[in-house]
Amino acid sequence: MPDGTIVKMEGTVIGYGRALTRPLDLTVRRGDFWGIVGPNGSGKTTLVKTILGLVRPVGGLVGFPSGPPRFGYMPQRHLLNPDYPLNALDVVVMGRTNRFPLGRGPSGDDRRRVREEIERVDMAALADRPFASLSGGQQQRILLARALASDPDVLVLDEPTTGMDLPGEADILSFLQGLHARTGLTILMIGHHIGKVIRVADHLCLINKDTDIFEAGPAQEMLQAEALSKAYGRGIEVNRHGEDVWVHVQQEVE
Amino acid sequence: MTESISFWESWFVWRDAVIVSLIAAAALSYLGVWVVLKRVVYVPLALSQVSSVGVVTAFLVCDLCGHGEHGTGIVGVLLDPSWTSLLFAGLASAWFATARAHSSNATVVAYLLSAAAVLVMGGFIRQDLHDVQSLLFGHAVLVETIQIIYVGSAAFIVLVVHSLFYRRFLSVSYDPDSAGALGIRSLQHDILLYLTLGMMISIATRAIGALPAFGFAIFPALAGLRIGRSMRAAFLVAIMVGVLSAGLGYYLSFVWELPTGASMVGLAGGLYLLSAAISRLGRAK
Repeated sequence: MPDGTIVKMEGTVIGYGRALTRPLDLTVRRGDFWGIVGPNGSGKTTLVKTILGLVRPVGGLVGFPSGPPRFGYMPQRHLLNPDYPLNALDVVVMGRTNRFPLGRGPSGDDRRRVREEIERVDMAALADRPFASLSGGQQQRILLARALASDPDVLVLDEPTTGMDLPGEADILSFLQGLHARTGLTILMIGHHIGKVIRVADHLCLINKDTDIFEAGPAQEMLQAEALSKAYGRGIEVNRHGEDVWVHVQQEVE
Repeated sequence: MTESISFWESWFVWRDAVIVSLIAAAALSYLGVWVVLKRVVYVPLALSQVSSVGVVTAFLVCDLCGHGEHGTGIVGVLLDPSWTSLLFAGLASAWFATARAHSSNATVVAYLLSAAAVLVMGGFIRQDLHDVQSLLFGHAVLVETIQIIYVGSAAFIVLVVHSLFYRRFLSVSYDPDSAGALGIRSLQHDILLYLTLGMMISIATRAIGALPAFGFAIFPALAGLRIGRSMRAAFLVAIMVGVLSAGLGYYLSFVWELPTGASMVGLAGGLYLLSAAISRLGRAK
């Protein structure tokens, strides 16, 4: 794998049995931090689920040139059933279920790794609390710890800051930025607020199945007002001040 | 006190029925926790009805082929109502697991079609209606000793499968996408989980009746999830409620001369209401 390609989509058509998009090309290299952005219902989650192997592509293939990577996936937390009597620790332990031999629970090593990740997301004090009783931000951290506990090659996050207050959102984003800088972990992060995603991602994928937009590349190249406006179906301005980039969504005019 | 002495004096008459009820209650109460958590509470009811189609089919085919009550030789083995009911319940389990997002529709369709099929096909069976009803829905008052073997074997299979796959069942039930991302095949594990449920419901329905089988799969689990603060606690409370409802319900039905299945289910429902009150009080403090 000379160029470090970890995920390669070539002419891949995504959808649930029926094509949602035209054939798409995407190359994710080891150490990339991808932001996958687009409006609600634009096909972001379907794209990610196709990469994860949860949804079969309608056409083409998703390739892994260096062998199937280990994925750590953080879903949208509101999709989880709060009736399960699980504490935060139980939820993180699930991140290592695939390593447990049949009929066995976590080993000492599994428990150590789980504790490490809970401490890393600063949730050690609440590890024994029922998961459903935690705030939205705390639940997001626990789900992040679970995804990291699987020792992933690729961390996949589906709107990790949804429903969080501004400080919580800033904490998660700076945590991810720091994690990426320290470990070089490959990250794919879905977000619909492009202004927040571009603060951390070095690559962007713009997707909107309704306007047939799919563009992917380095973030600085992708931040063009025209492409963003097409993806979101709204006027978008991009202002650059040195290294900083500001994205403004124009008011919709009746 | 006279009644209680009579009950114990005639214990040898009730023994098999009580043992079968206790085993079925324990296994179904455990499985019920999954049923409630997966929000598929009508699946046990539909499975029970579908397995009845298997029983009626066996009778009807034997009648049509002129093989008498259950047929003889290889036909007798293939068309044993126990196997056909298990086969039908297994197929329905796999269908419900595969349907997933549409599982509630699948459940209703299966229930209605099965109920209609049993009535229509039942009209063509020459067997005495009472015998067929007894085979279809069992009765918890008296059971054949062989039912201890059937229900006990089914419960043992549930125990083994769930001991081996518990962690994976939990993972795919709670968050199938994350489990799938880890390489755990959600659909296959869901099918296995539903098959254990289908097997237990089918066998328990024929042994103790549809009402107790359905009741044991719902009320004890609801009670366990009301009170239990962990999965383990929820399972333990559910099994305790199920076993208590079966044993005490049977005894009370004898003492007060009530219908046995209804007494067991009524007690399980009462214990659920009690657990809900305890849970509410606990939260209020």
